[in-house]
Amino acid sequence: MPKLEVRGLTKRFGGILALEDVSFDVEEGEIVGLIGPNGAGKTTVLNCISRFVPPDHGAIAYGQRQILRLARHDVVKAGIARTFQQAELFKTMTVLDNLLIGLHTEGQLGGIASRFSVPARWRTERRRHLRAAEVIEFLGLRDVQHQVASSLPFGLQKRVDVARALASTPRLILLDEPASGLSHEEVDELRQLIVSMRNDLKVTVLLVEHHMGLVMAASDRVVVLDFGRTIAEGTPQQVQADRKVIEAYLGEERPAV
Amino acid sequence: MGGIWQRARVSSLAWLGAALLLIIVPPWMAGGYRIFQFTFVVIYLIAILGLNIVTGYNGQFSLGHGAFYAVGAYVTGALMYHAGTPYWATIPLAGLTAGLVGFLFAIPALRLSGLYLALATLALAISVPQILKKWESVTGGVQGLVLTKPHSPIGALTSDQWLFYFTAVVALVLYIAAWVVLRSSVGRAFVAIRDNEVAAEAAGIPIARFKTLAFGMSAFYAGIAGSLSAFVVAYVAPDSFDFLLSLNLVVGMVVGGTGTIIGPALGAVFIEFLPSYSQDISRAAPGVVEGVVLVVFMYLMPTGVAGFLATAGRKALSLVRGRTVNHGAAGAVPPTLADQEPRAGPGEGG
Repeated sequence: MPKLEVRGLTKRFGGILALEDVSFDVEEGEIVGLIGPNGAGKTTVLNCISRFVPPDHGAIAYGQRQILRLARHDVVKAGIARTFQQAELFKTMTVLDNLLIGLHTEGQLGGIASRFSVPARWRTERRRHLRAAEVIEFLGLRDVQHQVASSLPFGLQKRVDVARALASTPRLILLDEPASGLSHEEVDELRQLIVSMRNDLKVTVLLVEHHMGLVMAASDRVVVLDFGRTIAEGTPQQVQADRKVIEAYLGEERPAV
Repeated sequence: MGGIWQRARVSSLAWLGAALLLIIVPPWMAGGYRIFQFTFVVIYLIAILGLNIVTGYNGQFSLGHGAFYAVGAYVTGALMYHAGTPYWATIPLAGLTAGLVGFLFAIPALRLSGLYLALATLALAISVPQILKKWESVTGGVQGLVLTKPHSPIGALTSDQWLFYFTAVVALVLYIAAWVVLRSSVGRAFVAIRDNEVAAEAAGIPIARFKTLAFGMSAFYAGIAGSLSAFVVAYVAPDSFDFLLSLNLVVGMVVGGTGTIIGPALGAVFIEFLPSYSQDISRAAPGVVEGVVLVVFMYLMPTGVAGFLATAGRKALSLVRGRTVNHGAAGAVPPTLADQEPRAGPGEGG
């Protein structure tokens, strides 16, 4: 049962302390929301886990693996996939090809022999196509699968980004503000999608998000960051009632003297 | 799924047929010098094909492919001149040496991108001819190396005709190889890196490995082109590989259609024949004619000739379909055509 354990994560950008001793866990099968006001360090946490940003201190373990020892391109092989705030698609490629790139690591476990054997490569390519078709079906992208990614509206591009991450059959998915730029209806679809990812695909979800409604409705547990520190952790109800969280979002109350 | 494969097979058979026709016919259309020019179209085609891999598909700008071309030419030249190696036997070694140089160059170049990478490759293009001049014992210095022109092993063919067929077959093999690689997961990874490096890495693509691979493969092609040029001209000299060669390859790639599979063939015709036709139009200032033609091409075909043909073909097809079968979805691109389109948006690479 792999469990994501983040311990004592600290990151300084120049003079700004982006993360200060952040620790939390994500259990297998959970949907955990990571929230906080702008600049609280949410995306930095996600970038540390996906190895885009090296933390100054701290450790990240996923099951038996020390994530911080992995190269950036090996994170996905460890079973952790991510999405991006701005979708970050391969813009000249079709939706299908975007997903096939998401499946790049598929079939690479067979060692050297499978790399140079042409039939093995064909079989791998065939498996990639089958898996891509599954994910396309799951996310309802069939009608647009042969369209060039950059020609799609932003909401669909974000869906393709999620599809590309899911294509790699991850056990843990890191969603970086999946609701930003989406319409009201799209956010509702997204909520159903996140829940269905966990329930039907058995993918653990770490959700970095601004949209409170989405986080509170979808998450089992919520971790709240403010100025790079963890200020609260608990169920959506607990967190919503937490004084420190309310202060962080609404501004500090003056101490009654 | 099956339909796509069948269509792909039919269209690739058609391409192969067209290619064979283009190989068989030209030497019988004209004599001596024309055949020599056709042979150079084929040689440039190979070099541009290589450049297109690294710049068009992988997005790493190279202004220095003349250097890899020169390396290939000199490996062949030196082997033929000093060791008496038969011309055909030098080709693989020339390609591999150039490929190795490209691969090694790509390692430090990984830290550079865009204009800085262009400048680094420019430095390579400028320095290689000078290094060749200095290393006199092997390269013959400024004088170069005079080689013996290969004879035709078939009595019915002149030496020029034979060399055309020989280079054309080499080109066909390399073309098919490039086509296979670029359509595989490797080619997809090249394009992914060009489109979005961050996302490519997050998807598990080791960027450094694929960038150096693209550079090495690309230089291998340029080296083979250089090798062929050495014995076709029967002479190698440093001044044949000046910066203008590198620049011409870039022009050919862009005019033909960056990041497309047929672009290099079209671009090669362009860079081989434009200078001589410009001479015909104006003996005094052929450069001006070349410049004007180039600007007109860029203006009329911003996605290269290949992109232009694809768009024109699509329009013609939808016109025909619109008249005969009036489907509900008017103007929609038929999926059959979308499947066969070059996957990389021409003109957007580099």
